[in-house]
Amino acid sequence: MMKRLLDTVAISFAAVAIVVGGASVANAQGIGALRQLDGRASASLKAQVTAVADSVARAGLPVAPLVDKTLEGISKGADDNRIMVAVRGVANDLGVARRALGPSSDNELSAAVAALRAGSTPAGLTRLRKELPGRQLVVPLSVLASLIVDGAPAPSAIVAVVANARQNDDTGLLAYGRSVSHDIAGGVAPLTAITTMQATPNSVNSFKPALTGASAPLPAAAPKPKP
Amino acid sequence: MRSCVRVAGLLALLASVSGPNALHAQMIPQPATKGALFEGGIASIKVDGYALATLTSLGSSLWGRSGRFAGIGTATLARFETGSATGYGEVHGSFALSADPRNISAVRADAGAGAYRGEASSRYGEASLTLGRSSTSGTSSVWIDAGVGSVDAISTQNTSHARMGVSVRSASAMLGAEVGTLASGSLRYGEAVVHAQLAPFGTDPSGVARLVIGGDGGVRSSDELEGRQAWAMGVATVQIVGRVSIVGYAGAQPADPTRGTLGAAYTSIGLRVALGPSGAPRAPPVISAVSHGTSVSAAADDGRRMITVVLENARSVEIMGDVTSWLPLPMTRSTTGKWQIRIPVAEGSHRLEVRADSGSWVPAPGLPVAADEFGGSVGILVVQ
Repeated sequence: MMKRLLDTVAISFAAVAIVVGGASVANAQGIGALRQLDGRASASLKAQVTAVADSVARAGLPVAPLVDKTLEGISKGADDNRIMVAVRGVANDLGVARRALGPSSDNELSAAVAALRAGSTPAGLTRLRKELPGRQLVVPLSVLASLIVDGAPAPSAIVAVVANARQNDDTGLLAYGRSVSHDIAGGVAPLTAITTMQATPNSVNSFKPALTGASAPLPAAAPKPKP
Repeated sequence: MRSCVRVAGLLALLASVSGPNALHAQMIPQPATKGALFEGGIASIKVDGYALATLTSLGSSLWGRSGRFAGIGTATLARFETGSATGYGEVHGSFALSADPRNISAVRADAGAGAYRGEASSRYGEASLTLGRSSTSGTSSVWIDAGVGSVDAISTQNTSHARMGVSVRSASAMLGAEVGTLASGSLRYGEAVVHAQLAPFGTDPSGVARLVIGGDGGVRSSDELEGRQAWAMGVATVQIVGRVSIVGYAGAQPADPTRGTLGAAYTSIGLRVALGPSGAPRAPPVISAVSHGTSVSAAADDGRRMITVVLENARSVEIMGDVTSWLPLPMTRSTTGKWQIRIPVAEGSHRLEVRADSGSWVPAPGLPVAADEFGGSVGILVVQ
């Protein structure tokens, strides 16, 4: 019994040590990222971002995306209120991404935030994780974000990314994403672009059915205006 | 009086060739927001087939752009071998009808005046409307122009004109053609003109062309001119050092009834000081919508990648995004003309912007464009 008690105490101390140690690491990473705000953000803005970063770090989420968003807002001359709205949005999306993807690397979470911000749904992220088990999702999530940004309907883009990712590695998937962007820039409706072209390293222009398990056809999204 | 008109006409001729061609400059927007040219030289001029004068001249040209307004002013002072001094000046202003750089439509106002021995010799004023458009990449354009005006040279005459033109250009060459008609008093004529410029060695970092070879040529037809008149003018500019170049002109230029100027044959040589980019045919730096305009290499052992941006007609390019901690970093132009920078770039999705010649920040070319949270837009770069 004593041995069991000692084991329990030892385990408890170990658990506390892990938690404390983990929080320290998270804080160190966060401090490093937040240092980029020195000299660029006002004291008030930095304090607000730090408060959000603390809660994000405690949740085990990366702080760097918050700092990136803050720096982006500063570089574009946005006022502090607008920057904080954006920062809180990113913080929220990080939590949504974690819940949708489950355990993920920081890069995966950042890419998932990009996909969510582009218009993907949490269910779409979950589907990617489910349909591509064991695969790093940084590139699939990033390609998903770029397709949606280009005007492809989110559900169709998710299906297209899953289909392509099953057949291609990240290099092939990137090539597909670029081919779709090229077509859309050339005036092809986004839905048409992602559903009629499947890029491979050697046959960029091969036409193969790209949808698997697609739902009812969706109306084509309006092409993005060219810059 | 007649000699006054001739002299004023000669000065206008010099003003028109020693500074940027007014219409040309407005059709091809200057890449910088402002600039200046000063030229001094010696010219030998023949009018009506007779050697009239050798003169020394000093010309200046100033241009500026602010928003959709653009203006050019030229002034020339000349001293004849006889000791007489003359002056001629022009101002041109335009207002673009659209902020879209592809839309080169504008309303223009032009005015000029000349004086001989302190007496006004000619005056002209004109208002015109130009409708035109350039391609997305800015390498080609088409325009039509029509205007009315008044000239006070020998007598006051109303003028009207209509012209249309096209041009194509690259970083080192420009070719343009235009046709038009003009009426001034009882004079009516039709005309076709070709413009060409070549700057085979580009510009130095300050924007001054190292070598420019160019010329204009045209054919004019009217009853009053007894059939066709052909003319041609050549220009060569050679950079000596920095902003100083030698410039030489040779050829003939026809009369311009809208300005009350006479046609003449001439040769001249002089020195030019350019305060601002000049000489080479340049288009404003264009953020091309061509896909693959931005690319990134595989990571090297140190984790750095080469980001390459294809951007025509830019003298400087900066890049900014999450990969630069949203600090602007200058890019370097490679031997192939592409802009590059080697920096650490992690795998994933990145937000990227570029700007050319200290202009506005825009999404990096060729990338999907997303709205940012600050009322603007940003390019999305996916890196493996």
